[in-house]
Amino acid sequence: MARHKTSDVPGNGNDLNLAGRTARYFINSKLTLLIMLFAFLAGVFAFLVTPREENPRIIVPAANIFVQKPGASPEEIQQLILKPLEAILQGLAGIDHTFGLAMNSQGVVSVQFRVGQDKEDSLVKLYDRIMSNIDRMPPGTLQPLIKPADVDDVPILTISLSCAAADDCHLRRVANTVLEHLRRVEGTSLSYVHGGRRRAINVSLDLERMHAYNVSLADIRRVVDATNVEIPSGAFVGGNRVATVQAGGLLKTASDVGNLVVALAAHRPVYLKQVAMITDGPEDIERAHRIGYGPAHAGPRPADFEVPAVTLALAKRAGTNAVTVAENVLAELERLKPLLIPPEVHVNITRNDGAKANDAVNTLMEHLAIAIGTVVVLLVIFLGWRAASIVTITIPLILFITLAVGLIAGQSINRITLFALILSLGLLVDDSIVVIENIFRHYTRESADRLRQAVEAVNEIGKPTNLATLTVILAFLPMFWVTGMMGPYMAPIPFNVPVAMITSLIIAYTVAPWAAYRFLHVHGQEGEGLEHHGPGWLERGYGALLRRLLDSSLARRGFFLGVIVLMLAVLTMPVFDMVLFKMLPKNNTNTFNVTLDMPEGTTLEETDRVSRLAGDVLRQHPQVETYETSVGESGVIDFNGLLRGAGLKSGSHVAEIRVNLRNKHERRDSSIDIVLDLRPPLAELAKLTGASIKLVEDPPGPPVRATLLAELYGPDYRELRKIASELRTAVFKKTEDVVDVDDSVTDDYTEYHIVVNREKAMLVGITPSQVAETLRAFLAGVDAGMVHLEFEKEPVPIRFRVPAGDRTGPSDLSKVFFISPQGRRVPLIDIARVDSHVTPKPILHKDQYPVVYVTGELARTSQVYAVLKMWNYLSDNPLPSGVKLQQYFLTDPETTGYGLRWDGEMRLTLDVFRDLGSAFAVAIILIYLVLVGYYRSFAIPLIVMGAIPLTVVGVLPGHAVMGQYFTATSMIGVIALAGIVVRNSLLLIDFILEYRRAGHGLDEAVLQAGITRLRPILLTAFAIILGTFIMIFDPVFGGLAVSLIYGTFASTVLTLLVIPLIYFLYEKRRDVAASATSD
Amino acid sequence: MKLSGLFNVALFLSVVWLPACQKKPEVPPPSLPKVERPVHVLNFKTGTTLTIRIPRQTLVERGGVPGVFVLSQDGRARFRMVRTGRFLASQVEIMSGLLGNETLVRGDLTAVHDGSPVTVIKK
Repeated sequence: MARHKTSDVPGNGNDLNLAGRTARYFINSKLTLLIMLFAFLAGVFAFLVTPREENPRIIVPAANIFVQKPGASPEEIQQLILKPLEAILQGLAGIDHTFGLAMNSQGVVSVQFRVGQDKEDSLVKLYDRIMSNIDRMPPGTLQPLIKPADVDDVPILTISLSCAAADDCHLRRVANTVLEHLRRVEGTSLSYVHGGRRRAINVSLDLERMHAYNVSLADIRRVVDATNVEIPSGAFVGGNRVATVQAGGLLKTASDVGNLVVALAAHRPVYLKQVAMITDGPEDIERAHRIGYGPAHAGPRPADFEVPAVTLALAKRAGTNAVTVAENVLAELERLKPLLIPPEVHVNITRNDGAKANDAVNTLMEHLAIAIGTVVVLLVIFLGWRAASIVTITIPLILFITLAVGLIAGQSINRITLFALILSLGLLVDDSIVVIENIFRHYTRESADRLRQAVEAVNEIGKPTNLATLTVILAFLPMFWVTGMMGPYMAPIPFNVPVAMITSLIIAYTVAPWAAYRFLHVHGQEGEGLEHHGPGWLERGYGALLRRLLDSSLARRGFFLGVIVLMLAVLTMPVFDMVLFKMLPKNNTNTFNVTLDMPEGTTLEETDRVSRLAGDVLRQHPQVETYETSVGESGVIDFNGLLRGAGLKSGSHVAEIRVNLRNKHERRDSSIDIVLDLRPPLAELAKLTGASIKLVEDPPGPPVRATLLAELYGPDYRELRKIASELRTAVFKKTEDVVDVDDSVTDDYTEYHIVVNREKAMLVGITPSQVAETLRAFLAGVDAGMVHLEFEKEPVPIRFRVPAGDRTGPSDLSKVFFISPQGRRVPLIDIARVDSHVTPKPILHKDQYPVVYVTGELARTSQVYAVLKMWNYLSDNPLPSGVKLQQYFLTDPETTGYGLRWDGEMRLTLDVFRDLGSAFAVAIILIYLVLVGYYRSFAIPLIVMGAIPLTVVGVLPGHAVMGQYFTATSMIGVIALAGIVVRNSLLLIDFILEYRRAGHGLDEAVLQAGITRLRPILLTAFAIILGTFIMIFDPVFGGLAVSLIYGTFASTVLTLLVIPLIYFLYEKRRDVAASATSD
Repeated sequence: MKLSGLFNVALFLSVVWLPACQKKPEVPPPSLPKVERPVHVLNFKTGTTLTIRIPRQTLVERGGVPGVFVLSQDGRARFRMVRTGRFLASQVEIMSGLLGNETLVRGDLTAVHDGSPVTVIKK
């Protein structure tokens, strides 16, 4: 074969377009090889280095502001703290929502910034805003505490240490020692130990003895505070030396504390140990943490069903690779095990987001490989092995470059990235196919100059190929403007697909002609597959059908009527619930959470009992591997919990169980089915125990506070609470498939109020603040400093407390006494009385409006239909008390009357479909504008785009046939289809125009163009169908696959007939009009 | 405030003596622990009282958590976390954790685990 130098190639650039010039430059250049090598190396590098995540990172800066005002009621807190604080935050740019919570003595405002706002900037602005307005807080308010709720602080790795023999204090010490080593691993950030009890010097006050020795708590505290000090006192200088001096006497042991002289009685010292029992040990139990082992657990298991556990939680630094960080931490853990962890302590890795991300990425990589393999087989069948090989070489190159661009742009490799690559697979082979096919067409003409022919071939298809690629890019780009959390979640699609398309175009003009010039031959066996330019049976059949439609106006009318009837029939499918809508279907995951909310006022022990019963239910399920119970607080926070506000939940009436299932690759049951299995027994348990038990599954997309979330607004908050209760029982609970129904109203429970008789108190010289402080020590216990131990990793407080047996009820308050300034003993009951009433309930705000929430989840169906059912019910019927609720979806409610705004996943669904719908509309407008520019006609682009509505014929029945919900990913599929089908009809119209320019009659041009484009169009369609087929089984992206497969199939079949016919009619009418004008 | 009375545990329904404890298998079975221990079983009367007293020897500590073993319906000793109040000569007050209708397991509880099977022999 004669090789030319690039300079010898025909055309000096003036007669070639961009495609031709690019091909001319690279077709015989060594640079092409270098480009291939570079793309390969860059791709491998990107593949290995790019951080892996399961889902794209969503940055939602958020913070909780805690403001305390001791003694204030929720109403006071609402008026004096919440409202001013919300007003202060009102003007702060970038805030999306504020959520207020007014409780007894404390107000919390949770600030949620808009998605994508810079985290550091937002928090600095927030601090600045609060601190510069601190003077607006009422007197007596303590310093606000601002705690960021940072997504990057969500642990990626949790390690459970459990042991039945050792106490939880010892376990915590082991965990702290291990954690000290693990947090040194590169890439880790926030780390902490969850569970276990801290060491404390417990001073258990003996009220009777204190009484006998006339020692009050205030005396004891005064002595401890005054004793437990050591202050640098300066230095002695002498003999040219300096020696520093420390003065004081720090308490170091329990016996130091016990030997403190706290008073004098009958001129003899009274030691603390005489009026209290002092022990060095774990602090009081206020929380409990355990791990239980289910039937799916394969390793060694302890003899107990559930054993005490502590959990080490480690987050990773933003931007680092979760996979490597987790691997390194676990390697370090293995090294430490024999050195630091006693053999009786069981170690379980209960969360490994690194492995999870790696697993998700690897699975999808496999799927991508399968998709590539399928497309390659298709190419071999259609094009023959030589042409197929050339296209096959380009596929990895394009994917590699796309990954490398992603790395440079700071993207991670996640599920959505890979779905974007699988989605673009069918499209990205098309450019190379078009180029190679045209080169082959040119090679079939007798000519000695293969190089010139190849360049001419590329030049010829350059413009339509550019345009076709541009239309696909334009279809995807508007998806960048999807708002809310769905925006960054989906962002890899509008990023990766256009990058892959641009890359495919570049590769089609550089590598494809280079390879075609070298390896593509017309004669002999090599070009076997490309010999399809002669009409086969397919072309003959298609030609006959098209000719009949072109010739017979009756057949044509019948055909159009059929298509219209078909489209109308398909469009009515959602009306008859044959196609159901949903935001995103649930995913098959390896974990889910069970939250337990006992009625307020329940003791820790009772909550613990119920959580063990829940554990018994979980342990029965064959797919449960382990479960971690946290009683008294929520478990180690996850992303879902962070946004749901689960981290704020604490108190003796709450518990959370994180259930870890057998790996999803090793079980047949989906986690969705497992949760469904567990719902009835847990609902039964809830009924028996009065607990509210919810099963919280990890959402497939962005988390919401609850799937069904009704926000109630109105003028009277007490009335709102009643409405919430009615809505819950009369509407939510009666709606089919609605489970885990709850509301934000707390239960009634008793609160004792000790009312000090000021006059009596002042007469004996006791102030109400003394009373309050003493009672706090009596009931809650107080920390009076800490003992100073050099090797302790956590502070060891000196904790004063009255034994539980001495503070069971208000009658025990008779044991509390004070010493007056005159030395007289004053019993509490002499200066105060005890009132009992129902605890004031918390008040919630959202965006400054008082609100009550009613929440629910769906067991298996879509929230859309549950909400619509409830909406219709509430539109027609008032609540049992006669209140008629005004309902809202996207607008702000009118708060002069009682209103209900539907939020939760319904709102997210509406927002997403609205945004995707807008993106679709913008995409169509952009495509139209580009086509108008290309064809210099307003009508032809409309014909070209006529293929878009035809996709519906496939999309909706496809969902009905597959039993799939029409989801947000289905909508992405519809948008992608717009680009794909326009590409097909564009190349079809382009060929018709070419044939017409070549002098063919209208009938003949339409017919020949259709026959010529039939195979390439079918090839593209099959490539898309087969490439995306692997996605069809994915619970989340199945909708996208269904849209693409069925939409491509239907629109391809219809495009091949409808578009040529419309064009034919349009031209015919123009001809008639032109002849009429000339007449 | 006087509560309706004192909940005393008195009635021994049965006393069970089983052969010496079986050696714990080295690899625990996949489902349930099989440690069987000699235990006494005693019953509470269901009452409306809020103060519950139990024999001191039924009180155990597992992992630093105070609790008792309650006989479950399927004949197992199930650990129940309790909050203790005053310790009396032979009894201990339970402030929280028991409802008053449980059957407690007592005896040599050192090797009894949460879930250990208990055989009740009627006296």
